[in-house]
Amino acid sequence: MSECTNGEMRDLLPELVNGRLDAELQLAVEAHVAECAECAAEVTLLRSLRPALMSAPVIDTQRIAAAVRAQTAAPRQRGPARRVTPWRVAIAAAALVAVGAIGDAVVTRGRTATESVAAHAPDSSSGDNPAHAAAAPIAAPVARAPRTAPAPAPPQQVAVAAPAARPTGASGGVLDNLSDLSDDDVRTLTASLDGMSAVPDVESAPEVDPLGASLDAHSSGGT
Amino acid sequence: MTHHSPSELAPDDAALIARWRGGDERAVTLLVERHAQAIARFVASLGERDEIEEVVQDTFVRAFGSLDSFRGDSTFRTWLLTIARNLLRDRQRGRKRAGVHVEIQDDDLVSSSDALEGAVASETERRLRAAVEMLSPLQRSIFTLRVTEGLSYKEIAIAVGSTEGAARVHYHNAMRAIREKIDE
Repeated sequence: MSECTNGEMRDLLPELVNGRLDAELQLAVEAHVAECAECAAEVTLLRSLRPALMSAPVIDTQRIAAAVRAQTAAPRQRGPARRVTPWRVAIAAAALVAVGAIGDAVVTRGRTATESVAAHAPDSSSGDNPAHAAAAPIAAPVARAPRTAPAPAPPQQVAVAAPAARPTGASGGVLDNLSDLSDDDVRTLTASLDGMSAVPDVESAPEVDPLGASLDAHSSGGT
Repeated sequence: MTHHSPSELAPDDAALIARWRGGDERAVTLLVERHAQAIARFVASLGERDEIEEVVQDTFVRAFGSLDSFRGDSTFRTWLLTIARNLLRDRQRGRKRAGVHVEIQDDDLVSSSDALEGAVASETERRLRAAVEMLSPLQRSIFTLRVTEGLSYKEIAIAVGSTEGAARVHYHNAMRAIREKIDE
């Protein structure tokens, strides 16, 4: 059996049968087929073969889709992987310093006369705690799940007082203790830091519901 | 008059992938519905008989499990075909290790369409099918991708792990063999 020697045209016959040629090329190939008996025969054969090849195995796409959904989770639902990274350890160290300062301040305050606190910082003792305690949750992103951490109020006050209590060199003691921390301690501390609103662990939390809803509306709305 | 086919109005693969990445699991269903049959045809053309649906499912599970590695250098369908081929190869190796006979014989290829026999419409179609099934698995898969999916030789080469030139040669050899078989 002879074959057409125009390889370029022969190569395009499947595209012609599949209707994947642009209008100009389709006209050119059709013109060639009209003059070439070999290519005309091949086109006829391809058109005959295609239904036989297309009638391949019957599969249940709905079942497959359900199985795939069950075995894979969309990225937003998986949650970020938590790893102990150097910067997290650094933040943990900084937090330890702050915790140490809190401890110092609390001890100092417990030992010194309450009147000196009242004398030097009357405003902070009179109303800051409740105000900050109430403000902290409000400052957190609305989309976040409410947390029940009782700690935020005291640090707000003590953080101001801490420098005055520093001269004893207590921070050195805290850093010394840091080296005694086990890996588990660091992980625990890191995990707690992840829960603090100051750590940008959720990059796009505000868009989760609104954007998802708008996409759904857009895709199903059929505008 | 401009006519838009449903496929033109439907979101493309990239848009569906973006929706899935954004948490929309319905995008999975749309992508499966769009590509599963083509993957099944490809898997069958490579000689798989009994577990076509399972391979197709595993292909999508693997794809969505590693979608971060899909850079869009090829089309999503070509990427799925590549995954399906690798899965099939791993299965065949596993069967071989387990002592299961996996060498694909011509008789196996003919019987691979047993499930479809009921749908065979005519003697002509049966002869055409037999002509395709006498091809080697590689030839048949390339021929099927070219004729049914309309993939370019470049896309076929990626899917079957070959070269563009080799894909072209395999296609034309397959066509020649089929014509000779039909003319017998």
